[in-house]
Amino acid sequence: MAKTLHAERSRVADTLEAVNRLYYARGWTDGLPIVPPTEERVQEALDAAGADPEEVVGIVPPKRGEATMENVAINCVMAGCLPQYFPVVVSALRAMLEPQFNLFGIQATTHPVAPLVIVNGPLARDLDVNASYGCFGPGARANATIGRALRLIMTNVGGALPGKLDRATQGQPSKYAFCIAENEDESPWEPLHVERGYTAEDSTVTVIGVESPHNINDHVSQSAVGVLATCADTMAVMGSNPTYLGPSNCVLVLGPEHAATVARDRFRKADVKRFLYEHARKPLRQLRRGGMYGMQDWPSWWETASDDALLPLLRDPDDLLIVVAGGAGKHSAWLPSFGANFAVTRLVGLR
Amino acid sequence: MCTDEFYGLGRAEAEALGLITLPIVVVEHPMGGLRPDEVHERATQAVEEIVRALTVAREVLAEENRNRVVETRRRVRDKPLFA
Repeated sequence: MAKTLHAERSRVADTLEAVNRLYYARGWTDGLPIVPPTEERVQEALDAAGADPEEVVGIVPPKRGEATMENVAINCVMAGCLPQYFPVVVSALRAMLEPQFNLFGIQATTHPVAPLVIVNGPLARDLDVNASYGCFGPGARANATIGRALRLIMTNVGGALPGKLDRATQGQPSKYAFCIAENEDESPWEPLHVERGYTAEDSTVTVIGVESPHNINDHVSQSAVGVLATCADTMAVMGSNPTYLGPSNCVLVLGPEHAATVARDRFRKADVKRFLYEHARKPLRQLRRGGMYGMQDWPSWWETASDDALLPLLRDPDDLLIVVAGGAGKHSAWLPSFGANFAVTRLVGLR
Repeated sequence: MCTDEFYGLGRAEAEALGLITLPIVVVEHPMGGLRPDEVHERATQAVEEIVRALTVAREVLAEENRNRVVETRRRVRDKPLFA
């Protein structure tokens, strides 16, 4: 028997316009229209997953709001999720609440950081999470609404409204929704979740706080070293948190064609990471001219290096997450971190 | 302790932790990008408030902080989070 739902009921005229006027006025939307979270729709999402509405998923900073299965379901409905997306949202939220994810910092900082959700395994295909052309862009319901549901939970349960508890100076468009799948079929390497200890048959979510994708265009290189040199040059910049802070996880999303070029030269993922650790660097002389110099969190002995010493963006090669996603074309993406946060991977499920 | 710009954030975070009347020492925004002499000036201006926060009776500070409003130059479109 279905348990009672506890959320406050709002009485409003039975039109989409009236519901959206009320929800927008109360600060409960992201500015876009929402699907009215009627009792029937919320119950359907909970029932499809067999979720107990009273179960507490966790406490969401910075407001320390209590995320129950019920209010997660409410935000899923509002975001436009299909009921079968619900366990993905729950799992991603649980992962975001792990201490090493640093959701408190990610919510309140002036940096634009947003949580990226990467779905791996058979469920990504079953739910049609876009891993191909335009995976970071519009067009796929799973990507758009799973990402949006998490954002609505971050604002409605976590209280991170822009200018209030979310003090991002400018924010970034991926704060609306930020969810992709890995293009496992076109990757020359083991998928992300297998690298992180799961089996290929497992379905997982990996969450990581990063900036919106920075494009890496290389239409020229026909070797691993060539493609990765372009990646390294895009990665090591003064205006990036991880240049000065660290350690943290950053994400390189290689397009399948770039990945194929790199793999053709017998580079494994570990080789890619090692190469980028060695080559994504800036001279100390330049790093001293701006960025976050003076607030840097790097080994003190680096300061004893000569001005010409090349300091690595990555504190350790394994700090880099490598994912293959996208369609045809010679583009990849670099997603630098907030600077004080790590990725978390979880099996998809209600537990 | 925070700058006037972030007083609302600090107050809301304190309230989220149940510290409804926590005294928050405020200095002028920004702190980033200041010259050392300007930082010294900010610190000097804050000394008196820090001493008060550490020495004045808790009930007195609680009353002062209950409805404290800190003006900022920037308009932030919001109402109190826990109103």
